[in-house]
Amino acid sequence: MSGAVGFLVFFLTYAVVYGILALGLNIQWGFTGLVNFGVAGFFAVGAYIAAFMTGTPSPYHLGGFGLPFPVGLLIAMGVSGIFALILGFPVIRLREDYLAIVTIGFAEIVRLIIVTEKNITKGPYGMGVIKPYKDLVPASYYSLLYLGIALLVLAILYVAMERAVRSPWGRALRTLREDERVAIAFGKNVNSFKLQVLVLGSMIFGLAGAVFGHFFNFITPNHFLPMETFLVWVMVMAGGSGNNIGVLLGALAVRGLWEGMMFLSDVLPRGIQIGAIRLAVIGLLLVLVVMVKPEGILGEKKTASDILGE
Amino acid sequence: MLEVIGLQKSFGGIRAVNGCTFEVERNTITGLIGPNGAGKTTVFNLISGFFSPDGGKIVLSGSRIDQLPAHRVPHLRLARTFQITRELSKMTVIDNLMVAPLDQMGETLFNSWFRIPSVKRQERKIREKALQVLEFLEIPDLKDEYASNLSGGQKKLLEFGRTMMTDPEIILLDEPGAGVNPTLMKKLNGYIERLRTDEGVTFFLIEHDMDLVMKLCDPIIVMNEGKVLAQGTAREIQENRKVLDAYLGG
Ligand SMILES: Nc1ncnc2c1ncn2[C@@H]1O[C@H](COP(=O)(O)OP(=O)(O)O)[C@@H](O)[C@H]1O
Ligand SMILES: [Mg+2]
Repeated sequence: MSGAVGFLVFFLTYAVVYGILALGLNIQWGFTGLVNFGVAGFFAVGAYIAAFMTGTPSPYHLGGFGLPFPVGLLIAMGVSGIFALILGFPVIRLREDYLAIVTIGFAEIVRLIIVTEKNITKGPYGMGVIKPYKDLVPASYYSLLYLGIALLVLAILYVAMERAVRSPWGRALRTLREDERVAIAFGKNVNSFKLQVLVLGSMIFGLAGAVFGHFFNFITPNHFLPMETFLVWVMVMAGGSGNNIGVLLGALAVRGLWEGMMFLSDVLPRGIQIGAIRLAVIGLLLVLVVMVKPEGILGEKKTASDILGE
Repeated sequence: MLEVIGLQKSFGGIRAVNGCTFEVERNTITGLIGPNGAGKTTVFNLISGFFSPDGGKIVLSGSRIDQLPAHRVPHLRLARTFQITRELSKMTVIDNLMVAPLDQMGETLFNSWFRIPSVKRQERKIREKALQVLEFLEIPDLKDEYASNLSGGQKKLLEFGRTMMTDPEIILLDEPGAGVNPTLMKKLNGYIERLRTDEGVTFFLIEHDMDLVMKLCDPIIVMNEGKVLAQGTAREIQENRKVLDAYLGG
């Protein structure tokens, strides 16, 4: 593949990974109003767990259990979900800011454990992740195959999430987001709903991590900095909290800006840090959206449930 | 139907409810009045489980409810409104109503994925009920409007309608008339009377408008400084010296 096509495939695959993350945050924040600032932590858990599960045995890190790729994805989701359950169970009944604080802490702890537990994760040196199904196509077409796999995962997830929220279940989530006391006064077990959503969303972050690892084929703790969490939040807020298509557009737009600004380095005067400019532009985008179109590119759908048809 | 015995609740140093005892008889429209800060709303919050009492008992249809988590109380067929309306502003009027019924099968993740026929059947019933409620309240045209676009009076109606969605035996109304124009108020009275006579619903309501209370409610309970000051018929309350003192002297 030529350089330009290769870059496009790389860009799209990366955008798909973030699309998965955005769908996860959308169920938590967009539909339910849960503040999870630890997206990167669950993302990391998913990436490393999948790497352990599907990798070949190695004395330098945990596992290498040689499991099939889909099994790795499922285990990555399961482990992320278990972390969310352990984290959420004591915190979910407290005021909402506690969840925000606890999730920030969780993500940093995960990252520091990855850095320090070199026997398990190879620490800052990073560990390799296998290319699933790599014998299926010639090496030069592999990235295209993997884009297809990632898109398939995203499509299944999108359908599942859309169906989940456009239902009486989703209507209850919107209710407790709008006004928790109303939900309680009408018999909804608010803590149970919140815990379900925290776990479900975090499983999706884990899934994104697994898809990311098998795409990059190399993961280090630096892939899971708090910055990642920030980017996903911008995607959801800019794209449209509570609209699954909206947040996918948000993921595409933010990823596009991020990568697009790489090309700026050719035109900018020497000495200007592209990293700083990138952040400033993303920040500006967020401010702009909040001021001009607070509901995001696409707003929430009007009717909550579609089980009787639109 | 509803018994409150020696109920107590303090906030810091304030004894908001300080040994309240009264009973709401089945199929009455019982009024709860008293000066501002008397503890009326706090009593409602205690009954509906939003606060847990520091002392005393609350018995609803024979079972104690004062230790129940708030989301279990509606299952004993009690519904309430809020003094300041709490509409779900980014949801439509009909969704505001449809979310209210208890024990919805569709409210599990599993059933939202696998929409078995009984889930749809229940959803259809809930929708029909919501449309009937809107018809009853004479606002059927508002069904697809965002709740945030309603007028103050319409929001009050919506709150009232939401309680009807759960088929309650008892409805607690916290100042249903506050900020409502006299025409709408008359209508609201009519709805309350009709639900009581046609469906046997019991009402327990806080209200400031004395004319309204005297006309609509029997009996009336008067609270002052966290205690029950008097109870009786409208006439008895009007002639009670202690009540007059509380209002004039308070
Ligand atoms: N959540 C609360 N926290 C602290 N104080 C409260 C709270 N709710 C009510 N109070 C206090 O309790 C007293 C009774 O209030 P309330 O029950 O709202 O009175 P009413 O509805 O009769 O006007 C007031 O002094 C009020 O300030
Ligand atoms: Mg009050």
